[in-house]
Amino acid sequence: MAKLPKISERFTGAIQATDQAQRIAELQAEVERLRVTQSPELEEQIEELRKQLLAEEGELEIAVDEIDPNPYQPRQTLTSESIQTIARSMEKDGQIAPIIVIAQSDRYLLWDGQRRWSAAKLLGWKTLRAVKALMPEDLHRKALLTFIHHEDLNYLDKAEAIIKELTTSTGMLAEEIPTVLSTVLRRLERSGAANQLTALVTATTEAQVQGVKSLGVSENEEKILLALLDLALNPASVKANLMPMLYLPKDLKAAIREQELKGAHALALTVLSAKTLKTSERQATKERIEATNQVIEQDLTVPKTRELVAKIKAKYVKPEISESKEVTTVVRGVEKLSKSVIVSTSPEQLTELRQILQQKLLEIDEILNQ
Amino acid sequence: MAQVANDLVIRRRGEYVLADRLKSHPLRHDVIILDCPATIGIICENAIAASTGLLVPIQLEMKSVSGVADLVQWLIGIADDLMLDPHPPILGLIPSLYDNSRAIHRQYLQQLPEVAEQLRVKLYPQIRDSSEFKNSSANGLPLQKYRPAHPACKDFKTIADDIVTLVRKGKL
Repeated sequence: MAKLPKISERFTGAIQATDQAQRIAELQAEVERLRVTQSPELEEQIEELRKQLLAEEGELEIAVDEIDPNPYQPRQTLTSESIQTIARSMEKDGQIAPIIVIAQSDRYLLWDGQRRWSAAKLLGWKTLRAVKALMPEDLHRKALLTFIHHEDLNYLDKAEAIIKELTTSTGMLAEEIPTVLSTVLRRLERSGAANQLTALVTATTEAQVQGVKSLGVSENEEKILLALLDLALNPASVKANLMPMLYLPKDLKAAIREQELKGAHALALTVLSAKTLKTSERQATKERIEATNQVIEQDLTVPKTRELVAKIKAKYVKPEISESKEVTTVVRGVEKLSKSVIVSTSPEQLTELRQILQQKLLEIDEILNQ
Repeated sequence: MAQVANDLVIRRRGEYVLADRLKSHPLRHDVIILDCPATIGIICENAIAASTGLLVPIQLEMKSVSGVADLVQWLIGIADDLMLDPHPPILGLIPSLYDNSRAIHRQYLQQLPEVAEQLRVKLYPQIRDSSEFKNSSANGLPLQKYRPAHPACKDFKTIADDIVTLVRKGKL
């Protein structure tokens, strides 16, 4: 007697449709949630993702070289043997299940199918069958990880996303986090333990917990440090590069979001403040906006931006007048030049000295008479 | 009935005729059960548009199983097409006309939980087959009234309890 066919086989389509409907519903819920809380850029990206998902009609052929491996792939080490095995099977029977990818701008992040993807590269396949943009259950955290480590995301958005995650994971207020973080880091720097902390970024969670405990920090400090380490972020770098973003003036934040001003440039431009320029808030803002536009239009490098800032600053603030060591040295040298020394010096050398001294006297008179 | 189906096609809001009527002329009942034909068509679409939950009877034979598989897939599409908000959920699969003496029934009943889980749908206890269903139906009565002591009456308990709970919670 022939074996009865299994009913589950008949349900493949229905299950796929159910899964897809479920994922769409979950993603939409997540989109709504993120919309409310995240920055406009993220909103746009997610809107795009949603459009793609809605337009999605099952499987796609995706170019192997347009796929990036998932850095959060739990199985980091894949033996070449296991890849060989899959490659042999794929060569013989073709690709059986589609891989799962998540669309990321014009490339795809590999969500499931690390071995098949590696095998496809091995076989020299150009494309793989894939399902696109399906949502993992803990999208938020994974999305956050993806986003904060994504080079395209600007520092300001990163900083805000990180603060948001820290408020959720530590239960602390957004305002107190930067203060607590800089306090603890300053203390660790003074005690020479800062390097120990940086070394923990790549450590296992357990080692991170142990390591932070051994630094002798307060409860809140510990929470923040562990949360950052857990996101594979270096606390010192967060403090130096990201936290200052939160305190940027509005016009610079807008320039980052709307004109793609880079974080380092924005930091250089913050020097142009009412306080440093010793001028009105309005005048400082005007100078800052003009400089910002110049930086963006001429695509200035960070050093060039600093030069520009220094030039503007010089217009407002006279260079500091103070005791100069060099002058002190010269004065002492001249005093040492006793008569007996001068008497025994050749006339040529004395003429030269006279020339230089006369020249310098003119310059000094000029400055003193101003 | 065939005529009704034909008329519905050309009627304005043809898929929503029943839903519209129930809205404009609400009934005083707590629950209305709409028994649908085993075919997918505009009559069925009317029932779905009007409903707040779906119960899917499934006979443990390949033809019925296949039908249910297609139905589940079709439901997702049709709820989208009809823009039902919220989509009426499938309250559960109900294995029906179950005959424990048949190997195929026993075998498929065993396989159902896995399928139901993957479909994220509840699986109700099976309703046994009995000729008394046909007799009670011929007399225009539910089995519970026609033969209250019949063992098959108990098979409905979980479903009835669930529906009562949902109604009490205002979820139906």
